[in-house]
Amino acid sequence: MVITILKIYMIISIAIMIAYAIRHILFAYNRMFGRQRIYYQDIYSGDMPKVSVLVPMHNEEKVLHFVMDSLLECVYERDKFEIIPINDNSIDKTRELLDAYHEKYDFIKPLHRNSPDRGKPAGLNDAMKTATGDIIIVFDADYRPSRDLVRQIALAFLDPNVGAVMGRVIPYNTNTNLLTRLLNLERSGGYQADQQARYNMRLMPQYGGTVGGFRKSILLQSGGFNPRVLAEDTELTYRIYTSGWKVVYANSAECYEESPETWEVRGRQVRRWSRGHNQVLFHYLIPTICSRYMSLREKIDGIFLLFVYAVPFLTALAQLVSVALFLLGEMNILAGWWVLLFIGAYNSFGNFAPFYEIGSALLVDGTRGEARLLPLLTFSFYFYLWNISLGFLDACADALTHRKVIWAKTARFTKEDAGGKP
Amino acid sequence: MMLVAGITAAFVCLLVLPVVFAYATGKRKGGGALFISRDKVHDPRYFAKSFSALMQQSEIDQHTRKVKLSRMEEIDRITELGFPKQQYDNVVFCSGKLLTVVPQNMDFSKEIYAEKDICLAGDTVLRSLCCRQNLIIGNGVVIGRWADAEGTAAVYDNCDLGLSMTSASGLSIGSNCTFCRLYAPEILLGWHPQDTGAIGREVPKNVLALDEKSPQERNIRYVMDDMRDENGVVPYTLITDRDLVVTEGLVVQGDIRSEKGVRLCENAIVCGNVFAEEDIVLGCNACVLGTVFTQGSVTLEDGAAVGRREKIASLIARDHIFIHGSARVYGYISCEKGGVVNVAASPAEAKAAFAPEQYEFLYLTGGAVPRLLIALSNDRLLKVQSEDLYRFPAGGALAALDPDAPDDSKPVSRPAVQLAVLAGILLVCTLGAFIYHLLAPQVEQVGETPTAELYHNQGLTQDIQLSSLPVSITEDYVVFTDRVLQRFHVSPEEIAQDAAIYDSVLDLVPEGVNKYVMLVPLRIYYEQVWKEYGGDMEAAAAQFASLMPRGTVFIDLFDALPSGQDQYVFFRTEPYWAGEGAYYGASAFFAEKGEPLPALESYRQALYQNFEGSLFDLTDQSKGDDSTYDDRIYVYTQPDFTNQEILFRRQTDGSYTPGREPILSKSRTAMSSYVGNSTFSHAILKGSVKNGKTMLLIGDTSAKIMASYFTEAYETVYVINQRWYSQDDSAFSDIFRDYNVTDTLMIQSMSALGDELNRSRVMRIVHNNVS
Repeated sequence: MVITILKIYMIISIAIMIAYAIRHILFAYNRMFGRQRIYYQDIYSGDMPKVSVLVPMHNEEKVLHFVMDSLLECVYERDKFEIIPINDNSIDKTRELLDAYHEKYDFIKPLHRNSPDRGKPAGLNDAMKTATGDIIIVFDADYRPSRDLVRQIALAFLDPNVGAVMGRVIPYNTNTNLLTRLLNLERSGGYQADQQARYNMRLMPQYGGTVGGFRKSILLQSGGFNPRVLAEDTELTYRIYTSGWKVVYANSAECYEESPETWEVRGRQVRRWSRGHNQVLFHYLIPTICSRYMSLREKIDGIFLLFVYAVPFLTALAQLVSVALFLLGEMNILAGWWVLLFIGAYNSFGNFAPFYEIGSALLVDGTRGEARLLPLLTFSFYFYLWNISLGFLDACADALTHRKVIWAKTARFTKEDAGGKP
Repeated sequence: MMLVAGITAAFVCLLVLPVVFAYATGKRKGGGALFISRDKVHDPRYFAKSFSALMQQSEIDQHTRKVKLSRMEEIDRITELGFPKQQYDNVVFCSGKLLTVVPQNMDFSKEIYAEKDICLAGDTVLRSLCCRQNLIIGNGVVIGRWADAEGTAAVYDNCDLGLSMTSASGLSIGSNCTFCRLYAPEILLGWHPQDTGAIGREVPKNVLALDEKSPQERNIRYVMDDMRDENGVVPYTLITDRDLVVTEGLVVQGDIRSEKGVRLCENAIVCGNVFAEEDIVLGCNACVLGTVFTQGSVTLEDGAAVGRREKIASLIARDHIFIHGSARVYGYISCEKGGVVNVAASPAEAKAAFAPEQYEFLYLTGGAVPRLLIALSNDRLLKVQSEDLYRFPAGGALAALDPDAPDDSKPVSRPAVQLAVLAGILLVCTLGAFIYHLLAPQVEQVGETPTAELYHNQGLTQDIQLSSLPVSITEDYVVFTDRVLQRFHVSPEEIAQDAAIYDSVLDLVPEGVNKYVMLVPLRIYYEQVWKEYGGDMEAAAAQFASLMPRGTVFIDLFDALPSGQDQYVFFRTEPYWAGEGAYYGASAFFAEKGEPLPALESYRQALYQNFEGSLFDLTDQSKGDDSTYDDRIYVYTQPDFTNQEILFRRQTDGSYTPGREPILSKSRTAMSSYVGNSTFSHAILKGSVKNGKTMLLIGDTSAKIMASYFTEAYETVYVINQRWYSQDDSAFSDIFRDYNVTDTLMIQSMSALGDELNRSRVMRIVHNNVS
């Protein structure tokens, strides 16, 4: 009986891996050869919406002037633009520096928070109550938006069906070490190929929490961000789609960010993402399936996306199961035509499928030399397998115990003098 | 053994080598972060501004005649001597003159920079042009990259405008011009500075004052009258995953978003933006006050407008933009696959489209006022005339070009200019009227498709037959997935009441005018299997006929219409006959008069696809697949059909205004594809014969489907829409006096019998007249 269950689990795992492999290949093919939908960046309109830019900060004295100075240079009608830096329980000089900006520019309106419910969702909720703009655009404190970025993001909201917009994030500390170079590959594949293909195919581009914007009314009408969910961006994506709005991806709205420079920091970051994402999976799987607003293709992609951080755990489990079956002498499921599925699944999901997306993204970006690094992703695959699985277990524990989620900020590596500019 | 060792070695190599190469690559320094141009700001005039800035910052070396741009470039400076060569391979710098005139048949392989006004006489090829003042681009100019004017720019016909044509003030573009991107605060397309009159119609001030924020309405297909509020406005933002049609004259207060296409019919207005995944069509005089954006193509028909003064907007298409006639855009136009203004079918047509005797600068002050005329004759510039505000230096700006020309250096007196303007206007009007007369009947040819290859005679695709099993049978309907059969059950009392109303109307018809009446049977009568569910229509018609006043001819249609499934006599989703059914109705009428109608095969067939009538909405059942089971609208016209009607449409304040427009038009939809629109009161069709006879046709939708068949035999066909006809006192009687009415035909579908509302509508004709 147990052996039968293990075998069935193996077969289901293989089927899931093949399904994801097909998805990766479709996205890569679409990005290379498919019809590309245009974004709204070419629109010129005399009727732009009022925008509030929110910048969550926690002890950001070293970097905040980068994002503030960049935002001051942004091209947008001043009477339709305000900046709300959210000083979230900082204990360094963040407060003083933000107040100094406020004295010089009246459209910079810092929000100083000193409350026990620290964290990005709680901070954004408070800031949205004071924001006067219809559109909320969020940047992290270590970001450096270009002059046209706010306009490009805001343009999408002329479309009455757009609930949120996601821009493209590009790491600037690419050359620091091997990890940052590999992260650069992942970012390239994730945005240039994956997000753009989903936008092209009218699937479900994902709002990423920063370098993007959303309609304030959607959040306020549904009670704001949920502080118990770590992946507030993914949660917002599903909230938007299940309530009849769309997310669009703006490939030309590019912004630099800082990548983690140590494996330890990256591991914690991925574990946190996995935990948050799987919380969203538990909340939104049924609403996504039952949504009357989402098309069939959006639902299918939405379900794939929901399971993205659950599948590595299932894969890890499948590998353990395969070892157990081998030791029990029950690997005869490899006999016959199933062996083809094994080989296909391993080659596609384990190795090649993400390569298609990253490879095609590097071609489009004109950095094909970096493709030589692709084989090294085989090893980071196991690093992610471990950390994502831990995040999945965290999320399961959250669901079972209803424990309180504590926010942890990703460590910064920027040195004040260097400025971190590329 | 060796083989196994070899295979093992190859396997290890294939496994290890990629990792070794990857590791080695990782050890080397990478290419760095992707570059983001953080200072770049989208600007439609970016090319011209950067080039102009370089030219102004750089000093020209007088010895080498070189200037530092992105690299050292040689300069050809143009003086009063004009252009001694025909081909220029260096950057051309035109300075020091109020006006530079570039002769015809020139070739510039690099940029042209003009400090003052410049006029390209035509048939010239150039790479780029930057003009610090006003610009004229004459006929047949080809631009490789871009052209820009700080002042206004007037582009004439048959030009290729390259990647970008921009102006800081205003831009007009003539016919048969292709483009990719255009920008100006005001762009007049299909228009020359000589043209008089405004393009399209002005948007009413109360519409401009509407707040664009409005509640959302989802998943609708037709925006109809019943969505209007008490102010006559549709107060919604419309979001749909279907094709969306805004019917004639409606005002939508908010935005429109469709996952498919959008069609604005004539005179429709959208106060917000329009976004679509597929094609967008703005019908005649339709207007979008915000931005139009699509992943497909955009078509602007005559008089359409995008944006509004003082508030720029954009017209952006992933594919093509087509302009038919004249159109206005305030702001930016962009299309990836190219756009065209009034494309000419052939080089001969392109040449004939407009051959100006003179070029004018565009001068925008709320209307077009010519500022400077440049007269052309025999491919050679003869003279320049100017208004007082534009003075040439002593000696004449163009004297050097033509030593034999008379001395025009003195400012030309105002009367002379006025005369010249008047002459120009007269010429353009005459020419325009002549061209319009020539082209009008052909302009609006709609979809003459060999539809036999697409659909069979029920409007279904070839491999689909009519379903034989109903989904439900209710008291009023027999419902199938592909059609609804309306059942007939009207009592003799109700028929007597209906007949009495008809009597009242016919009593108003003067002596000597022939009177005819028709009742159109329902489709169910002709479906043999379901006929028994249809009720006794023949008895009802006979009773109705017996109650008609003396002298009235009742035309029995039961045998006149063909039975069987092999002809598209009735719509499947609407309770009326289709174009073919109306043909047989008209044949019965002419047979009664002893004047046979031409065979149906001799008619031209125009097709409007995908029409869903109202019958399914009246039942609890939904139609099968949206597009497969849609009805198709066929309009039959004779080759000499005069494609023109004067339409009296209902306005938002309840008044009716006349407008002259084509009947067959790409922007028409649904029942409006025949005559009039959904809210028209009455329409006057011009016949193709001159015999002084007028047919007065009174009826419901059956009447307007039938109207075009009468244009072969009557000089005028006057169609009264009994649903919306509401005119001043005695207007009905005046028709007979003013139009020499010879025949009156009252016609309606039998589905309208017994309907109180319909009865009150017909009575309105009588009441208005009596009051």
